Amino acid sequence: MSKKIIFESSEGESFEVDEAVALECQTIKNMIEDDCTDGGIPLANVNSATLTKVIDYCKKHVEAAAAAEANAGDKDIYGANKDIELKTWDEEFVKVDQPLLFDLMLAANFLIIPGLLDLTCKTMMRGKTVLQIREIFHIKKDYTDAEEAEVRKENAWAFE
Amino acid sequence: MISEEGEPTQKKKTFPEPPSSFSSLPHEITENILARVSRWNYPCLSLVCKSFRSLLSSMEIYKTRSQIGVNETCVYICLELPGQRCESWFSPWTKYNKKRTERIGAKTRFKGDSSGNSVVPTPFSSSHTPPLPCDYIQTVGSEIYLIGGPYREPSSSVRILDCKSHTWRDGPNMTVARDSACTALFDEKIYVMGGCDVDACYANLIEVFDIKTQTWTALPGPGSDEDDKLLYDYRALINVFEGKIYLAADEKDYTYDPKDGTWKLVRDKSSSFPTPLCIGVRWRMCYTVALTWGT
Repeated sequence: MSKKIIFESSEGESFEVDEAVALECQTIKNMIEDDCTDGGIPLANVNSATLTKVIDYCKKHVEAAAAAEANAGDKDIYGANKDIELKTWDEEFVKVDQPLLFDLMLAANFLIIPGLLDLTCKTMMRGKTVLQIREIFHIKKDYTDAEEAEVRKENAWAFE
Repeated sequence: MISEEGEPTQKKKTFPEPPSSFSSLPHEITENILARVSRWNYPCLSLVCKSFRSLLSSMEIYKTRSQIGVNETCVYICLELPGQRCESWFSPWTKYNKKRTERIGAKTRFKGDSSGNSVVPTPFSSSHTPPLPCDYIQTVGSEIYLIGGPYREPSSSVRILDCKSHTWRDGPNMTVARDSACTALFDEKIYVMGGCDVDACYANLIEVFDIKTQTWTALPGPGSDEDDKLLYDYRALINVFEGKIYLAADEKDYTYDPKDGTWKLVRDKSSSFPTPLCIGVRWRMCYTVALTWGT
């Protein structure tokens, strides 16, 4: 029976996970090592919906790592298959709305889950126009039109 | 197993949505995020707001990329196009949200393939581009070195393209002028051979550039005068294999072990190697080397 760790979301909801899953988060790993996880870990800046997704991600990646280890003995020259499967899963995983994606990114940053942070950051910025990025992330345009034109000119090749 | 679908909408109904805004984030988090994004997104991201631009145009972002191990392999292609005085540099990159056929550059048109990849002229395609000495290019970290001059235009100059900022700068000159010299990179040293006047530059047929100290030093050849003269041959090549420098001249092959500084004859009367055609060079977007360079 593996040890369980209890997370508490910002709404006070409890999530029980295997220690192995919790160890995917560097921040939690440090806490476990310092033995200060008794009575649950309150995550005041991670809401339940985000936490659910984070736990899903960690679970999947723990399983994938275990499966990869189990199969390590019988080496297949096309061994990348597992990676492709996980990559596909990751791609599906981040097909969520922007606010949740943003929260996932912040949670990954806070909990230190490099894989998830990478995935969310890349997904969030990919294929978006300047206007879309400003709109999605509520960033105010602080360029004057002339300044914007200047920046555009500097990297003209990217906008042609 | 919790179903992924429906989860976000369900949540929205129950709890107030926190503002997903970059302006609410501490600077280092924003930096950490932007460092993970492909550098090909940087021009677009620079337009978003001033703080993004100052972050992305600083060298700090590359330090962060290096620290978190962000690697990007970029291919640079240098082409001599008819009717253009200077070589043009291109780099393929993925363009999103664009139609497949589009006009790129003033004179050149390329079609993106079905994956959305396009070939674009890099911003340093300008009259400042030095003539390309074909296979005398060496890539070091995120920098591309052009060493010496092209065929029949000997030069001792070293031009360095910094791929982070897409700017050229001069490196320390070689001790002799060379054209069509042959180069190999090993252990933060660039080995350059041949392409110079064999009688005038006898002692400097091979020279080595130490990237750390930024200095050129002559390296004595394999042995007899006769052997060393072979190195002048345009068909002579050097390469690196398993920790040794391989030198293939017209009739003989040698290895040089940088550890103990010894030459060894490995093949006699070998047939000459086919000359490799090198139009593309690759470099990795990890800045460890570049940073070492800067300090």
